[in-house]
Amino acid sequence: MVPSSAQKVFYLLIYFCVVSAEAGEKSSEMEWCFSQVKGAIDDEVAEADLISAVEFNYTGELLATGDKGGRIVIFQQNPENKSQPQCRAEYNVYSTFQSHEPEFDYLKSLEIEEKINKIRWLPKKNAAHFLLSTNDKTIKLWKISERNKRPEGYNLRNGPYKDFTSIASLQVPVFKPMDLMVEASPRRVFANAHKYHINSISVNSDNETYLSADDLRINLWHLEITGQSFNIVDIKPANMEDLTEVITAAEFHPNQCHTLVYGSSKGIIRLCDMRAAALCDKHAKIFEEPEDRNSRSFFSEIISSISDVKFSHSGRYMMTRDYLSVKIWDINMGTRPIETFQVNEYLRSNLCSLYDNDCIFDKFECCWSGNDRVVMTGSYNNFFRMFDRGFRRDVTLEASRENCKPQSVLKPCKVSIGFEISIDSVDCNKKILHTAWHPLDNIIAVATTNNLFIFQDKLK
Amino acid sequence: MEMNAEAKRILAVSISKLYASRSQRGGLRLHRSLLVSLVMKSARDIYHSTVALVEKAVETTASTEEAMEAMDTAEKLPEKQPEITDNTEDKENQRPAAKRPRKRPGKVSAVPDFLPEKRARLEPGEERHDTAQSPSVCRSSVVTETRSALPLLSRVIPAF
Repeated sequence: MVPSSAQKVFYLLIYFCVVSAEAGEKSSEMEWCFSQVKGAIDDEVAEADLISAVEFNYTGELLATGDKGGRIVIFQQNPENKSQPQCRAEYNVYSTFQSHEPEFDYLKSLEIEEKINKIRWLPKKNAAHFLLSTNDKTIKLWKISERNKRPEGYNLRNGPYKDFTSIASLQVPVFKPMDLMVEASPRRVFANAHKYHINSISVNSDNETYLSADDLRINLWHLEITGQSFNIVDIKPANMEDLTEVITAAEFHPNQCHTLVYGSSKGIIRLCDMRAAALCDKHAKIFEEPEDRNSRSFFSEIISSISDVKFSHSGRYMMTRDYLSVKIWDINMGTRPIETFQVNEYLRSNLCSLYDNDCIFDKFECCWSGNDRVVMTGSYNNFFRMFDRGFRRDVTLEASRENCKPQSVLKPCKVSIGFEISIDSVDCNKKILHTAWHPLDNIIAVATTNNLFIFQDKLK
Repeated sequence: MEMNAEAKRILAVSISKLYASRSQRGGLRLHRSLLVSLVMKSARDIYHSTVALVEKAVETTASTEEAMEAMDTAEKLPEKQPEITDNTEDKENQRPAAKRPRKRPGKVSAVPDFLPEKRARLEPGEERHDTAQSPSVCRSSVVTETRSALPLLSRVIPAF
């Protein structure tokens, strides 16, 4: 049941204190300003418009979003404003296309959703841009190219075909400028390799291969070959009744083309080295934190399940997200994380209600800043959290249309410690599952249910 | 007792989630089904351990009562023997009401009262452990796990 607006205000006043930036107390050295919001304003959200993936490309010039309807919308940074610090986070629609359509598996009588689970950009090799997009079963490689010239002056064809007997002289066709047209064309379709639902794709640093992971297997593909893939990890037990663990996220190392990690539903991360064996069922390193027996409950397994795993840009660290926390691991030490940030510990006392309304199964993503100093993740009530590793500070911000004045500074929100949070004050319909950080600048993209918010760091 | 009630409630909610997940778009989600089954297992273990504790308490009470009765009826035993012989000869014609009840009085039923009574049935030709059939295997494995946890379940998870 959605609380009324009066109730929301009441609970927010009681349980959350808004700290004014002018009061002088800063939770982070960065201040964030609103830049843009994309999407419909309507309160009633069509399910197809729910944003399911957000990803910057390698330069940050392009920002791709995927939705539940199988569409991809690509935004481009305004080239005229790139050099203007105040307006550098202005993104305009560049291309929109239907990536995946709903399909039906007749053999298994199962519908295959068109929802875009993940988008990953390829490093740019030429004038065109390439990205991989995946739904539950099929991965596609898309080429996004610009056309701003077209040839004119054909001898036989300039509109309708000419009678060749009427041609007295020949001319060389020339390219003439035209209005910019952005075309998206599917170059490769990688299908029929996953029996279970694909949860991750990751491009290798060798720029030739990529991995796709489902609940029980990880496959290695070559970008040019669609007819076959190599299975490199298989955790399917001989007897499915013995199944205790599934793969939830996987990623290649950013620099080492032979290294990959995958997280599991048990909260364990395994690092595999493809040089050791063709099949990486046996991990090279395992990352697991001992369970706290005192906090054990019915839902301990659910909240320890890894929902996202991301390497830092340097490759030295990796970050994992489970339901209540973000953990930073040094890949050289698997006994415990080097840092743990509590995202929404106040939910621990309400796990039963969150189980009832299915919110406990939400999969939150996380991301690194370009310099690996700050990590970011989303939460409920359209809050998103940033944790500054250097200053050991954290900040909670809200993505709301009420704070939509251009260049307005976001005021940090503070959850009062000591109050017991009622589940009624947590709006589970407003959640931020997907966030992305510009690789080279402090520009972030935060996806609420059907809106995409873009914020930029206020330069001092 | 609160834990027992909570465990029962979570079991019921989990079963309904598993049932609903079979009809959701995109097919059964293995990850989610696994997590729900783990919750069910935890709730089941707590429920059964609570039931076992109650049974143990009841047995202790019953055995104490029986010991008391045995002491009282020890003197009347020789008088009863001819009646027992008659009962043996005429056993087939005994009225059901005269038979000794099979259940101990006050024994808590092993079957949770919120579950239906019929066993789930499999369609002919269906193999429970066929690993080649992917989602159905996942589904059957979850159903099997559920069935082992709660044998009388067919109405909630009917045969497929």
